[in-house]
Amino acid sequence: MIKLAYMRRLNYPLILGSLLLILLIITSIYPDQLATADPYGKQRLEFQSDENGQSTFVIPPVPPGKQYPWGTDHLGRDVRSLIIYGCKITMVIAVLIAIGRMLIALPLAISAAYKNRFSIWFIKQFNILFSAFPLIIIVILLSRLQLFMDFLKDEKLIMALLLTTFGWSKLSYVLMEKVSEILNQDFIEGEIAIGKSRLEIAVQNVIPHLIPSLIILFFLEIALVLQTMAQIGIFGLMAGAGYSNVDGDLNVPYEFDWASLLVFAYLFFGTDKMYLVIYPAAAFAISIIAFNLFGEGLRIEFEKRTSRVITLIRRIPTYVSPFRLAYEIKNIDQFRKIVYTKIICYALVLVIVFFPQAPSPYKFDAAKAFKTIEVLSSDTYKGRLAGSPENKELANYIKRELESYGLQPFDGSFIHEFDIARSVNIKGAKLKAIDTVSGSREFVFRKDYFVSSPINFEGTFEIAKVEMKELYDMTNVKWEALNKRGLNNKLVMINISGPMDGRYVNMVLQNLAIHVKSKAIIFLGGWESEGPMSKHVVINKYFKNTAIISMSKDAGDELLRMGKAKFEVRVEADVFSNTKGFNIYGFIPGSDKNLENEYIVIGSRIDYVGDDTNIRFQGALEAGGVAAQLEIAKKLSQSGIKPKKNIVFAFWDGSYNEARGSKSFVSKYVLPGKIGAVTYIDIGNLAIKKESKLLMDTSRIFPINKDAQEYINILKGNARKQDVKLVYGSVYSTLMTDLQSKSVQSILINNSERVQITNTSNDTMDMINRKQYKKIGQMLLDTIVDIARGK
Amino acid sequence: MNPLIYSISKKILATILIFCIFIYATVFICLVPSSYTVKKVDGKWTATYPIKNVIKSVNDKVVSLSKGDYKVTANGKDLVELVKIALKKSMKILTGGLIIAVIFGIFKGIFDSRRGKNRDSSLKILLTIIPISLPDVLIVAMLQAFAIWLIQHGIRIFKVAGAGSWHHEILPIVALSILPACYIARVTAMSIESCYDKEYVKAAIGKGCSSRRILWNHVMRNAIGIIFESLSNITAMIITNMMIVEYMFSYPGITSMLMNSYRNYDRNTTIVTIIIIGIIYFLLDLFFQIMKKVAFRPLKEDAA
Repeated sequence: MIKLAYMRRLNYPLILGSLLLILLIITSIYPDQLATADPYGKQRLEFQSDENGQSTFVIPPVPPGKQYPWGTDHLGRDVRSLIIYGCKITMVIAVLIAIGRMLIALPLAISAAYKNRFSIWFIKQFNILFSAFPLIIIVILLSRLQLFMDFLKDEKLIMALLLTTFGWSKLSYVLMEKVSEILNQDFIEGEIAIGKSRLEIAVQNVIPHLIPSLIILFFLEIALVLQTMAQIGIFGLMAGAGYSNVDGDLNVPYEFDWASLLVFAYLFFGTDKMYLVIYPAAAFAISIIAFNLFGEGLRIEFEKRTSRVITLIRRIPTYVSPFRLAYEIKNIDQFRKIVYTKIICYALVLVIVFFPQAPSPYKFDAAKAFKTIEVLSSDTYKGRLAGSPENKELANYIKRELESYGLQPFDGSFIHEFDIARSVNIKGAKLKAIDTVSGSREFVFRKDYFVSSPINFEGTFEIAKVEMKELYDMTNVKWEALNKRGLNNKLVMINISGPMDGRYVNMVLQNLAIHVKSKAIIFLGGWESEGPMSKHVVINKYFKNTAIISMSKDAGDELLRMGKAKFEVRVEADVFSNTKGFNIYGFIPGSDKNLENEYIVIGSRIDYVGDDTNIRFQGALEAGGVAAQLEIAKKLSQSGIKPKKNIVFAFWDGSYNEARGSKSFVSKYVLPGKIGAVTYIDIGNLAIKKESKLLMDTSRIFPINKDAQEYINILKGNARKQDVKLVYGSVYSTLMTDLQSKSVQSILINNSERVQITNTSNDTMDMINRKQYKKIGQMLLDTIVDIARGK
Repeated sequence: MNPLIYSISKKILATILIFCIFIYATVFICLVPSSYTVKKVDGKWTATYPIKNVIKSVNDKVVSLSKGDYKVTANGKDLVELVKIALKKSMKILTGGLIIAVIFGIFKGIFDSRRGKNRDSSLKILLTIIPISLPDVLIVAMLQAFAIWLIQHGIRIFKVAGAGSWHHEILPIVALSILPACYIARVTAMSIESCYDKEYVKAAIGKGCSSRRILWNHVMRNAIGIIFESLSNITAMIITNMMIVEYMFSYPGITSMLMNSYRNYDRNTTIVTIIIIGIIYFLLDLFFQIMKKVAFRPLKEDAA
């Protein structure tokens, strides 16, 4: 009977709310431990056979089942993992909005409770106005403004700002009533009688008595915010969970929230794929229930007659004060128990904060890595153009290094040649307007324009303008009429600046090159000329005899203003025909015979874009990946660790060409089945100055691939250990076109690309953050060692 | 001036003023160009569109709207007719949803309340809080999933998208009624409990009145006023709920019209539909206020 009475007295809302909140906190802090799949890994189209030999064709979205308990979304990502990983940012946003609303609502509420007429009027009218105007309509209408994107740069922050700015009034109304209640109590009259000012009463009396209500309302407000976030998500406002581009590539965001998971929900309304709406919505429901129950539970607790919460709250500052502790230590006989308890607590906090990390077993030799970068970036290799004689030398250099580390050759040799049909380096150009009204004007190569087709030619040409509207409808272009204008001997200029698909522009240019056969085409691309130009070598068979010159916006405008003019044009390029590329592989054989067909491939790119006549393209950051990989290979080989799986250190050549080294590897080993399964780790640019984050793109792995998942967790663990900010993000790599097959699971590591220096002449040794590079190198070394050991 | 007339006129004027502000704010928000931003040009912060021009275009739009320039959509269709059709459909599900919500909510509230019994109600609090914590998105999704499951098993009572027959309207009405019903239930339970603490209820219990008589004659009579008062607090929630329901069921009501016009850059229709949604809010609020006045008749008034 006593037990039953005790059970009845229990505060169930508080207990259940606390349990759910603990669950949410654990999910937010330890998503890696709870998620069984990678959130960005993609289940691609594949044939799967069951034990009866029946094959099925798996097409995302995959419904909930054995492999994916909560199914996958239409991009093939595991819904459960997405929800687990999205928990942290959802909670952070909701809490921030609730805090923001509190900060606006509280001063206004106190002021209104003191009968400030403006505050009362403002709260009341704001409440009426923005109740008639549903909050989600305001957020939808205002979030489209470019102003917010320019200043906040993130949809989530825009949503948080708008939800805070327009959503505080109800809270303020409730708080106003609470403050009024407190001000009407007898003890306030006493405070007035002793001569306390309004501010003193507000700070010393109202706020301490308001704290229990504030705590309750804070949790209830978080629940309200979460409700609104779910509604906003369903209207497709948030796109933070990644979106696929026209090629179907998934753009992986740094972080995402649950609202973003509902963005694509509209595709599945009223279909049998409703689980894609139900699971994220259920996650919202659980969190809203948690906050509501916790808030209500606290209300029950605070309203108990025996509640001493206000007294406790007022005592907290005194209790944790170091002065108080000093006083207690001085009078230890009196406060012995309290002093011991406090000292143990403080000691525990200090131990947790300053707990020493286990040292890395092998030190990453950053000085040696920098020397390698210096060698690779030096004049000797002239910008490391694939197919050039210098790259053959480079391959021999890497081979010698691998040999000296004690690595074995792969498939009989370290260097594996492959055919590169044509390698081109446009290293200089001249574009000079002569015979204009204002004299002559020479444009600056790689500042005002760049050339993107391989041809060595020189000449003076008249310019002929072709309007885009004459070419836009490609099936009805009047080529004969165009040719009658004698365009084949002229420099054709077309204005393409404006919102046009790059691939469509390319097709228009191709058609022009095929049908008109002009010497060169200038197109006004409308790009802004800021900083050094990224060097792109576009090799297209249709442009074999036509130079394509792309002008910046400013130079293009100038060109348009010139009117009739002649142009001196010269394009200077190194062209290597029927040349060879050189992949280099260092091999450490696996010790487990059962896994002899499984490989871990660690790769980086050795080639770069080649030097210009007057500009050096060092590619030091790209070389950083190669140097780190060499250092890792050395340490792993010399450690004597016998990995279970075969490990290949691959140094790819030709990554800027159509015939890539990675393509050659896949067609030679993976597609014929010589290699069964590959987990590929791509090491790109590692430590650009001004970039604090390192990106990890896992969208090329299958979500349920256990090995890849394990390696990712090891990588994350080592990133935490080395204090490297490793975050999810989209990494572009040409190699990924080749490494997409079912048997290859790829993880890409690269710097974020906010600082545009890749493929520019700015990619120099000075741009490397050496301290950060060392940390990242150590992180990668520890990761590969852990993987090799089978941690 | 008679203080009553003064007070009423002041209230009417305040309502008209706030409605005018609402219309102006609506037009302003809809007309600010999406590319509006502020950039630093030659060291000075400069707006891409001078704010004066934006305000001028808003003023012009408000004037043209007041002259009746709102009757055609961007693609030349009769906006008034379209709004009438959409509004009729929305009112159908809104009325149905509200009736179900009030009836179901009050009865659930009576069931949930302690009705004067001195026992702990934390388990009942759980049952009250959990339903109001469910996002409307989840409720609609679950109803749709249920309907699809029924259809897959050959039971074709509900249709999950569109409009035109009662089959289409059942689910939106049910979806629209669940959350308001849970709120009403909560308020009902709380107001019933507060009434049971009153002296006159204790006196009635002491005189031996039956519990049913106490509930309906003493408690509900006073609680109903509080219930209708609280309804005006959930008006905004009902409107938002309607947006979600119409969107997810592809139900061609007024809020669907708003979203479609927004997506099609039809500013005229967007402005008109937002104003109509605002009018629905004000009318609903007014209706709840009147209901409160009608329902709340103090016992003393009856005695007189």
